[in-house]
Amino acid sequence: MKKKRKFRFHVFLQVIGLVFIAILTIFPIYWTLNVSLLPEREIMRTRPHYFPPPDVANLDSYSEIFTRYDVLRNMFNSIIIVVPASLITLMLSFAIAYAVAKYTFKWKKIFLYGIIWLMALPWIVYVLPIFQVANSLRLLDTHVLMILLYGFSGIPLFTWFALPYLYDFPSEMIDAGRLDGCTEIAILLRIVMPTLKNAMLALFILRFIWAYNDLLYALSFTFHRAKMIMPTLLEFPGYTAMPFAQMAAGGFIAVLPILLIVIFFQNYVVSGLTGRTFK
Amino acid sequence: MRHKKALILLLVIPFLFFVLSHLLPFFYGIRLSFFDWRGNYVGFKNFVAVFNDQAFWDSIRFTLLYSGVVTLGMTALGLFIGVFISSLGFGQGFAKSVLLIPWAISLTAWGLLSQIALSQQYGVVNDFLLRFGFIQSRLAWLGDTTLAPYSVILARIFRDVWFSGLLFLAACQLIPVELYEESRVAGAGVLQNFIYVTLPSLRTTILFVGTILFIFSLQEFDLIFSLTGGGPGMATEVASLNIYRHGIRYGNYEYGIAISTIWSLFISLFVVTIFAPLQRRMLEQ
Repeated sequence: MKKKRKFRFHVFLQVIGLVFIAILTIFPIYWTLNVSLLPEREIMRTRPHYFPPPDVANLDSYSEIFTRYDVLRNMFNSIIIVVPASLITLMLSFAIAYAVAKYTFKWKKIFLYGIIWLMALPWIVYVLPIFQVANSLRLLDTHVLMILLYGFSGIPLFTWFALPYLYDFPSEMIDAGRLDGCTEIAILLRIVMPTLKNAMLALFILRFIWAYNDLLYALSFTFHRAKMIMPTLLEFPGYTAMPFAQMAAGGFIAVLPILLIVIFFQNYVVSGLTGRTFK
Repeated sequence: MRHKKALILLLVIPFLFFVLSHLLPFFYGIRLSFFDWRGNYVGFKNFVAVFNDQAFWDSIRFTLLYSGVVTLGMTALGLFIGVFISSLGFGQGFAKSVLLIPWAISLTAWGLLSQIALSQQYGVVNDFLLRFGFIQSRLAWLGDTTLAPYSVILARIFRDVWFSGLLFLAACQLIPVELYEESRVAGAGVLQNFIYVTLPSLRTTILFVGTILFIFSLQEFDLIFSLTGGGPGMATEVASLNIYRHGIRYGNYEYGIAISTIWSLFISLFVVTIFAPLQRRMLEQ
């Protein structure tokens, strides 16, 4: 009897902890939605509404941001830049990781140290020189520049992420391909990549999320034609007024695609992040 | 022979794209930092100017404080969250899904949302703390030069502590159950289990997560740019923002590059002494 009660108390604490975690993790997105549905004057009150009262809630701030800023166009820009860029990152990184994992060469150790160094070097150190080079090539504010930059900038990190999968890849399958007369590229494209398609999809999703969410390159190299969504969000807070409802509405719209990806492809995201394939 | 051709095709050429797009501009930038804006060679003049700039040292100091506290906070709390969820007999799938939700919100959007939540007059954080009597008067989270650095740090921890919890959760699930059974047979309680089984098994994960978080927080730009822009004054200016301010906003190009050269040397030193040996050990396992 006594033991049963103690057990129940233990479970009770666990439930409380779980609910606490759920509230804290969901609250930010809930609050964004809440604020975005309120008129600005209903936000400027010292006792904030904890949920939007039905008689004042409306979608005005959404229509406001869609008419005053190019939210949808810039989101579209972000997506058509980031999708090909992520594909480029993945193809190049898997090729490099395959070579590192399955070939022996003299300067492998130095190469690995180099990759680690490049992962740690902050992005800001590339921004100023790239700006000048891109400017002289007349490539600033173009989709091509952004696709190439996001495509290539992920190489060190994603080579590192791909390495464990390729170290674990059975060498027998590669040898079998060689016996069948495949070239090394054909082995990579027809044997290694199809076998690792779950891992590739997981890392593709990760690369997509990181590039889409990145601010620094988008802010520094796109201004109008190829403008991406993250720098667009920063236009909402004005110098004189803080339109909280519009900031929240813009934030919610910009975050929505990533939120959906994370919810629907949760297993892929987790396995990509923890470096484990799921069965 | 066959290998040599394949190496060039699969390693050298793909990597060349990174070299051309990033490394060459990087070294070109280092060269530029020895010139003034008219293209005259000035030696170390830009570097001397940077070393005499108090704002530069302040930004370095804040970057280290920020990275240190963020890393410690996220590692310790994340470890706690991960161990807690892995000890649950139910709801682990549910917990996994909610842990990723804040991580999906981009740091730029997170900065805007934090501005809304931390607003002195209208923010939910002040209202909540007032209602429950934690504070007597409204705090200027982002307007006060002593408070703002901690607000920025807290905003960052609050977003990503769940993510680090997820990494620890994944590592916890790899610990063999037999270890816990043995320690239960030996009469260990919850605390002893944690100290003698969980912690030693997670030692490499803790080191790995800690260094990765530290490395990434040293690069921080997005959140602080969108949350405070480095202000009030320059109270929350990290190294990346300092470089951006001089190089892009002030158009002080060569000076900005000189800072970024010094900063990349700092980072490289850290990589060579701590980060690289640790990462390689992780990979070899």
